[in-house]
Amino acid sequence: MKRPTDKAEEHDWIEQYLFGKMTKEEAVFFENELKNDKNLTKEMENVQQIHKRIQEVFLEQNALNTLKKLQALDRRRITVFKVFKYAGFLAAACAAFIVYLSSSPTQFPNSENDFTVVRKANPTSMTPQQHYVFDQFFEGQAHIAEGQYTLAIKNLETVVQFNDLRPYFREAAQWHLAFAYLKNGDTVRAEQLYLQFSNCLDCEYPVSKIDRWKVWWQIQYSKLF
Amino acid sequence: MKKSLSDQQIVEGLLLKQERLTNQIVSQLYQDNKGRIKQMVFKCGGSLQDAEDVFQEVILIFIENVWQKKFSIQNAKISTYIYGIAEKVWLKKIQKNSREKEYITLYQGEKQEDDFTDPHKQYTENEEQETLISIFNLLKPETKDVLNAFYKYRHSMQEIATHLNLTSIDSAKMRKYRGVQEWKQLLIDFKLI
Repeated sequence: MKRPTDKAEEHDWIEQYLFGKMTKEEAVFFENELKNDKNLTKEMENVQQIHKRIQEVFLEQNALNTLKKLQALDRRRITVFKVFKYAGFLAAACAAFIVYLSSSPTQFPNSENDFTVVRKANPTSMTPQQHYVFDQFFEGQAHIAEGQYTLAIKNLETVVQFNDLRPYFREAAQWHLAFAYLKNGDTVRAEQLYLQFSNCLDCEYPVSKIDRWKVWWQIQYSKLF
Repeated sequence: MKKSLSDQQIVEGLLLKQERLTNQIVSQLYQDNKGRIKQMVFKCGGSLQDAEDVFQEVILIFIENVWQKKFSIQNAKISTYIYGIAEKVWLKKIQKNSREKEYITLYQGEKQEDDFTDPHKQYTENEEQETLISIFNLLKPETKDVLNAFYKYRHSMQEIATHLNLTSIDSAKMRKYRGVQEWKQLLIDFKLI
């Protein structure tokens, strides 16, 4: 049995002993060499130190991986929490908006006591028929304000049947009529009238977007329940 | 739920150098200390990423200090000791960035009022500590490859030669030997052997 002379081979030789890869005879030979050669003992201690440190590196790598996984898990938890938090806020805001649409009163623009509800009407000399339409229009509005929707429907239906209305007042009468239908439980007619204005580009009666949404939402709600 | 380990068990467990136990200890150290360290980093304007980086370094330093017997439970609680290391690591991190000088002033002002720093000052006041991983990472990539293949994954020299596209087993052996020498030199440079 011969001892390696080359440094690299000697290193392998020491490692084979440390890893228990030697035969019994080789191990006995190695241990004898250890006893007789202090340098070999020192070299073996060095190799052991090198092994110890490298094993520590691998343990640290594992520990670091564990730590990174835990941190990633925490990050995910934080993200999920944030998503739920914002989704919660959003849901609450939506719910609040729906409650607002459902419960706050719809406000149509005021129509002044304008005698020109009917086209070509001369305020100083109106025909009885023109007077009648004028009265029906404002009575309808008054009935809505009082919650008498059946009477309001009657008034406003009379108004919209009149041919010679100014577009502004026709639209105003139709909006009020749609609202009266809705409040009276006639969702189908309310929706039919509402749809006339949903994509209207040249409408004159200025109903705000929020009030349109209120009417739309209340129609949908009535259809559902 | 796993039973929480005592300080004594943590130290003894780390000294056993077993992979599973070390991971269990790391998990416990993380759960027990993450809140305070995060708070400390946030207080001085750090981000979540900063807090995570600090924590990683702190845990590695703590483990190494236990292995090197620099830490003793007779002198400080582990949580106190870890917080002390975290302060050092965080301070070092913000000192690196000159733009963050105002944080240092703020931090040092707060530090004087902090009860956690004094009892263990002697253990963490030493010079900047490089972790073993950071020293290992100074090796050339091909050296790390061969050392990982042989010492971590226990591949044979034949497998290593094939994996690294080397012409023979002797070339692989020579590559490994050079790698070991490179690693040894680094350990000597950092006074670790």
